[in-house]
Amino acid sequence: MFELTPVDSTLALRFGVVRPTGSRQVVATAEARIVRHELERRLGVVTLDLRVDGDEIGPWKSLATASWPTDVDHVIDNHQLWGDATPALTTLFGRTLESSAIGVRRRMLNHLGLLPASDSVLDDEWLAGIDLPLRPTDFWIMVNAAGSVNFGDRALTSFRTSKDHTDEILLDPIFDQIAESHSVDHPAIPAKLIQRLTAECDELRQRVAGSESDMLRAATEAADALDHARAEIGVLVDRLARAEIRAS
Amino acid sequence: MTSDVIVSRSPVPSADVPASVHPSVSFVLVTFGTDRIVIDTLTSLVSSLIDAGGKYEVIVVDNPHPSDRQRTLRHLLLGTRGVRIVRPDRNLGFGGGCEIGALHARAEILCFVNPDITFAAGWFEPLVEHLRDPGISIVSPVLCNADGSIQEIGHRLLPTGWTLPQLVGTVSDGLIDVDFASAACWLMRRDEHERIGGFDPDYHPAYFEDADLAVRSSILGGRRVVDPTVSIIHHHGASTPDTPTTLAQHDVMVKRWPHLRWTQPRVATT
Repeated sequence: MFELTPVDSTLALRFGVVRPTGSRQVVATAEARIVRHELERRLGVVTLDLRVDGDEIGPWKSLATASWPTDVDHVIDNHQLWGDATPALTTLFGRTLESSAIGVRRRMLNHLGLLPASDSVLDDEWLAGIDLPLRPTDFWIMVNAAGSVNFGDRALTSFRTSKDHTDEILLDPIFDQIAESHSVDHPAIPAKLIQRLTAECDELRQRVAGSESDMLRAATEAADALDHARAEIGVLVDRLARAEIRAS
Repeated sequence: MTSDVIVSRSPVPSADVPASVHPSVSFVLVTFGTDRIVIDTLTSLVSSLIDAGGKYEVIVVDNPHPSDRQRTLRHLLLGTRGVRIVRPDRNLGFGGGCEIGALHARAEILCFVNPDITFAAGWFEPLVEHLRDPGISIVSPVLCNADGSIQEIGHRLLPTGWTLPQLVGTVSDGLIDVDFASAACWLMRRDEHERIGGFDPDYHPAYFEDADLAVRSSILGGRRVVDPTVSIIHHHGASTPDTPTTLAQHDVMVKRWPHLRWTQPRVATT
């Protein structure tokens, strides 16, 4: 109950994303969103399941309700895939934001007293002082509003928009490569989709067959009941006729 | 801005929110000098969810009212258990209150609810089901008055920037598309709320922030719908002793969306 699985998830490509244990929630959430965004830009709708070492689920499904899809099309191990470039992944976070929403959110953070001053330095001490679970969008706005950032974790520093786009140049080809290996032109992908759709068709067929046999059973029972009723009517008509004869 | 967070622990609660480590839905209520009606609202909310089987949390953002900063808190502490009460050090308004509540929320579905609502069993499940459709941005029930008459089936945004509650609507796919629905009760996926940017503080303290958010949702292609099969009772105006004026907020709306008349799809009425 209450879990949200998109209605069109049958046809969506399914990616499982594994993140290393110990990475911050705000970073893991951001990475998952970036991966989904970049893959959707290239492949259309994808579904994504995020977990730590195969156990925990990230932001796309709640921990209580999610189950690791047994038929994911591809597993992305963030650490293994990106290697030294992993921290740079968060540089792409700005791409996931609607430009019209940024200004509104910036004003709201200011209203709530959470927007850093333009001459402030955001560092680990500042981060420790935030007593709220930070969402990636808010964190992105905060680090880009501040005068400078100085975190021990490079993934956090990388939220600040890259000026020279070197990270994008590094990362985009990796996403292109993943997308290419999962495009519909790739021989394995249509086969997987056909397999999934076939399984769904089989399930539906079984359901229909079940309904058909239920209906047949109901029709047979109804016919039997009708025959029984006809016989009873015959007996009653006969009795009535005899009663009328006796009465006359 | 600082805010305290208290979890209510009344030994004899009218509203007892079951503990949930990983809630699927976060209900966010904003109060401002709200009286006992908030307890009635929470009691009916919790009762209506008993059979739903979902895990949820309730967050009340208690904006301090200048006349009595403790009024709502006293009711909450006496009448509820398991409610997370966020107490900002100043009045953040309705939009700001919703947003600070959303920051504390842990679930991926947000349900903003006024503190003057009566819920009946079965109201929630159909609404949350609609959120499976990624094209739906905001979903709301029909709001009724205490006498059962219809208060609104969403609102129509007029070219003047003012809004008009609708009492009828055209059903399509079981839903009624509207310009916007009052944020007295609406559900959104959290990622959708973030994608749109959430409430705009320029409408502080209240009114028109829901219409503004709906316009932005519309521009980004999101549907704002009302489920005509679901209704709740909204005791309009009972949530706060103060009713803010709306002229300034209307002014912001008109200046923000000068081309309102052509950015909004019209809703056919019968």
